[in-house]
Formats: sequence, C-alpha cells, structure tokens
Amino acid sequence: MIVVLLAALLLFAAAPEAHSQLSIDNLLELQAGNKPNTEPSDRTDAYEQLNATLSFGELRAGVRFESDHNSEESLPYDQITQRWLEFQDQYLHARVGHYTTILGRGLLHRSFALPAVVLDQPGLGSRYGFLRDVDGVLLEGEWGPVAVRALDGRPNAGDTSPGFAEAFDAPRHVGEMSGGQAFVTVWRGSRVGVDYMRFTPDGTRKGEYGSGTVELDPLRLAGVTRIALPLAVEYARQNPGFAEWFQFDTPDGVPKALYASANLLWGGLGVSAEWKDYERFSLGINDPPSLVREHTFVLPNRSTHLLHAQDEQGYQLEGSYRLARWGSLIANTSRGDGKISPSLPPRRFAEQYVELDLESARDPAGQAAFFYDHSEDTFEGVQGRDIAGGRIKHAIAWSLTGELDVEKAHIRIAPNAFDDWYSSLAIAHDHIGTVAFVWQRTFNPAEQIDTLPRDYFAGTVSAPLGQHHVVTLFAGQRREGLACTAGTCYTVSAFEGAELRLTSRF
Amino acid sequence: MTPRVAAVGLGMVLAILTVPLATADSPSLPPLIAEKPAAPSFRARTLDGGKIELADLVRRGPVVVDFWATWCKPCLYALPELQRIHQRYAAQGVTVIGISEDGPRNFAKVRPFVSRYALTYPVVVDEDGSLQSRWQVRSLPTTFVVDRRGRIAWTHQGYQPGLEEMIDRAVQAALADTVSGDAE
Repeated sequence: MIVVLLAALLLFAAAPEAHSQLSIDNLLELQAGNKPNTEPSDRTDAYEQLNATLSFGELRAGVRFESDHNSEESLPYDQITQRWLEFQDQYLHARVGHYTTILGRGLLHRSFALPAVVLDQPGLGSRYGFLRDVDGVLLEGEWGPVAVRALDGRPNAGDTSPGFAEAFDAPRHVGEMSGGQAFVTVWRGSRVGVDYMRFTPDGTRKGEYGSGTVELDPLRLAGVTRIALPLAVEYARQNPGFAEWFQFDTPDGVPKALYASANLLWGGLGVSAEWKDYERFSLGINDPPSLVREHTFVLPNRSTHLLHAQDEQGYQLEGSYRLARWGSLIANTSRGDGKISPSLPPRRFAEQYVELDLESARDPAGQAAFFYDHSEDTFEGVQGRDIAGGRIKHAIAWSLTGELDVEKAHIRIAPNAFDDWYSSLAIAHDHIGTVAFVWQRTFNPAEQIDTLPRDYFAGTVSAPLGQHHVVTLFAGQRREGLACTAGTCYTVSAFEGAELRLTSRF
Repeated sequence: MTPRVAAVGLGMVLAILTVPLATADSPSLPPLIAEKPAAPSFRARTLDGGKIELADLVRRGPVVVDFWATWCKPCLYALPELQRIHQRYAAQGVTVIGISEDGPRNFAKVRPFVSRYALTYPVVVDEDGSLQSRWQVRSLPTTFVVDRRGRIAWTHQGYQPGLEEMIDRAVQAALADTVSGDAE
C-alpha cells in the first residue's frame, strides 16, 4: 500500500502541467521536565506529526508521519501512521487507506481524530496523536435526495502509541468491520435512514447491528417558519430481523440503543431535549451521544460524567434565552441511571447547571459569564459536587485585553470532602499574542505528596508567527486529570517542566 | 533531543522551506506549495436543511469559512465578530460560513446555540470530520478567507482580540482582487 501511495505521490508531483498542489501541516512538541507517573520520571521528549496531502484535480493522496523519541528511548518510533488515496467529485467520494467517518448519530460507529491532542502511553511515556481511524475502504455517494455511505476495514481503538505497537508486536488496527447507511431526504428537510454494521473484534465473535433514523420538523412540514421544532430519533439493536423490526420487539438481554432529540427555536429562546436508553451498547467502535453537558469552564470540564453505554438511561434538557444587548441565560439538567454490574446497586449521575452570560454595551470585546453547577455521580463514587465561578474579559489599553477566570469546587467522595480552586489571568495583545498564568489549589487527599493543600502553578505564552505558524510555550505544573475535547474525554498526564509546541500549516 | 530526531526535524523544515523556493525559479510552473492554495471544495447541508456548495458561493464573492464548536471558549469570542462581518459585507456578495466541529455529544445543541448567538449566516455541522481533515484544521477556531478564484487568501489559527479587524482587512483585499487580475 505504501509503495502504491508513494508512487502515486511521485506521479502527481512529476506532472508539472497538471497543477498538483502539496499541503502540509506539522505539529512539533518538545518537553523537558518531570513526568511523575513514569520511571524514571525526569526526561525529555520530542514528538513530531506531519500530515502531507498532494492534490491533483479530483484525486488526493496523503500520509501522516509520526515520530516520538524521549531521553530514555522508551518505545521510540518513526512511522507513517496514515496513508490514503481518494477521489471526490460532485457525486462520489471513494477513499482507500485510513479514514474516519460516522454512521447515523454514532450509535453504531464513529471514527475520528482530535488533531491538537497528544496522548501519553500510561506509565511508559511514549507520546502519540489522538486517532481512532479505520484502515480500509470508504465509499460515499449522493444523488438527488439519496445519500449512501459504505465502509469496510479494520478499526483502531486509539489506545496505544505506534511505539507500543511496534515494540510489543500489537497492531493498532484489529478486528474487521463492514457497514453502511442510506438516507433519503423526503420533504422539507425531513429524512429517513437505515444503518448496518457487522463487527468482528477478535476474529471469532461476530456481531451484526442495525439502526433506523427519522429526522423531521413537524412545524416546517406544516409551513410554519417563525418557530422550528426539529426532531430526531435513532433506534439500534443487535441482530435485527425484519419481523422484530416491524413489531419493534426487542427480547431482554439483546444489545440495544435508543437516542432521541428535539429542539425548540423561537426568537431568543432555544431548547434542546435528549433521551437515551443504552443497554450493552459499548461496542468499541461506536460513540453514542452521552447526554452530558460539555463545559467550557475548567473545573466542571475535568469532573464530567463518562457515559456507561453498557447500561444507562436518562435525559438532558437545556434551555437558553437571549436578551438583546444584555446577554443570555442558560439552564441545563441531565440525568443518567444504570448499573455497572448486575450484582451491584443502581448508580446515578445527575447534574444541574445555570450560566449567565453578559455583554458589555460599551466594549464589544467585553464579556462576563458566571455559573453554578451541582452534580452527583455514583458511577464514580461522587456523592456530591458543587462548583461555582466566573470569568470577565475586558479591553484594557494599548490593544490589550485581559481575562480573569476564577472557579471553586466542593467535592464529596466518601469518606472525604475537599475543595478545588482554579484561577487564571490572561493578557492578550491584538497583534502579538497571549500570556496566561494559571494557579490551581486542591485539598484532594488523593493528590497529597507532603502536605495539603497542593498547588499547581503554570504560565503559557502563545503567539502566531505570520500566517503559517503558531508557537506556544508552557512552563510549570500540569495537573493530571480528565479533559474533554470535541465531546471526547481522555486523561491528561501530570507534567512539571517546559513544553514548546509549534503548529505549522502550508 | 537525539541526533536522529534533530536530523528528522531539520530535514522536514528544510523540505518545507525549499520546495516552494525550488519551484519558484520556473515561471511556467505553479509552485507545488502555493502561497494561496486552492480551497478544498465542499457541498454541505446547513442546519435548516438547505445545501451550500463552496463553488457556488465563490462565484458570488469572497467566502469567510470559520471552523468552531459549541464547547470551544475562544470560538465563542469569535462568533459575534463573524456575525458583524456577515452583516457588513453580505450585500457585497461576501458569505460567512460556520462549520461546527461538534460531535454526537453536542449535535442537538448546535441549533439552539446558533439561535442564542443570533447568528444569521449559514452553519453546517461537520458530522464525520471530513471538512476538518480536508481543510487541515488543527485548532479551533480556525478562520479562512477564500477569494473569488477559490483560493485560500488568508488563514488565522486560534482567537485573539483584533480578529474582526484582521478578517475585515482580508475580506477587503479579497474584494479588491479581481478574477481577471494577476494570479500572484
């Protein structure tokens, strides 16, 4: 495959009259410091990721090169981790090699990348880009009201670095999956669709899954334009037969998933309501909607609930109202009930969140936001969590803008109760860049080294270098914990030291 | 850093810098890495069910393409500025498009969010991440100005105060640039 792609790249590049075009983006991240959970912990690391795409009319070919070397030479690697060739015109898209895609709302399958996220192999320090892709074939077509997608390949769970895979002869892409979907746009934006997925994770077990989707706006169908009420529902289950589909009959114990959503949009009022009922539906290649609010504030973001798709039912309601020239008010409530084991008592996640956003009438850049969040998550042993805080952003002078963010959490995890503090001050210049200072303080006994409280200090400088580069320098202590980006949560490793990140695109 | 890594890094930097220089000596050949590369084409479904195609929009005038997400704090600062750009230049054929990089966790929140920010320019949801990949977007927000020849005339990664002024200048330059003019 690599030989074919390299030959294609050379062929394209050697065709001067054909206006081939090369696009490159590059991420270089250098670290020097201490990683408390690796042995030895003092180390330097250089991670490099280069994506090159050669376009030639409707044909494109691309490769991703990744490299990681640390001072301990722990699982070092220099690898081409993606290679692909694709054709795309007005009606057809065909891709061979690595790709990411989605079926429906992600109940059956979702593969994706988080381009700016670099993960650490736990305990080993080998670093790699966040990528859950598929190596195979993807075909997509759209003809009038009909849109189809078919896929085949081997999925990558994204939990091992290329260095780990190389050293332990553990391929990143394992199992076999084939599937597809067909959607038809019926009238005034309403759509119906079906999805199918066959997945063999280990060469012996085989699962077949199917789903059906309906999307419509009854008000739009009735010709109402001032109010919108878009509705969507997707129901999926394992081994569906036509008779069972027709009767909507699902025997107990059969993996199934139901997701439904509704929006109401009327002037400054916006409401979203979602429902979930997932049973044994953590497939390893899917990403069902979690119905958990994704926060922009730091402390709520790092203490969010992780979906337990093996057994979780619940809902999420969010409403927002906009007052012209003042700002907006947001309120959210969500809940999930389920079991982590049949022999253990039921668990519950529940969260209530309110946020007030204010705009400055005199300063277009001036904004303020204040929030309060209360939650419990017995899936994680959290009896209660109360978080409050706010941020204020305002122009200062000399093209400078300041932003202050202060948050406090009180967390009860039996037998302890403790506080967390987060504060940051950022100063941004219109033409130069941003300087930020972060101070975190925790009374969490789990993070105690010598005494409590434990403090984390860090500073960041970020600046664009022309149109092609952005450089970010981090120095200080990075607190270990959960972080969520683009709806996906992952663990950020503890780190003390300096980190230089250079992002380039041409 | 090991010598091997340094060599790899240096090699890549040299390759990136020398490719356009090497091709620039030949006036009949377009450089392999163009200063203003062709914008990746796309056809997408907007939140209200309509369809937009970049090629159609470019025929009307410059296009501002903004990659954003509901969970991205810096993106929230950029949205009102993009709305003002839309209001200022729509009559001159300029189109602003928002491309939401929200995943299944937030699909249902995008429309109320757009309503809350009173955005009147078209917004599409990049459900499968293909647009993010084709446009090589590494961080959010990332904003592009596509000129009337379908080339990416200006790019900005991230948000910083003064973004509106920068987009404004890029849009004005794109408006002043005529299709019959010299390519570079």
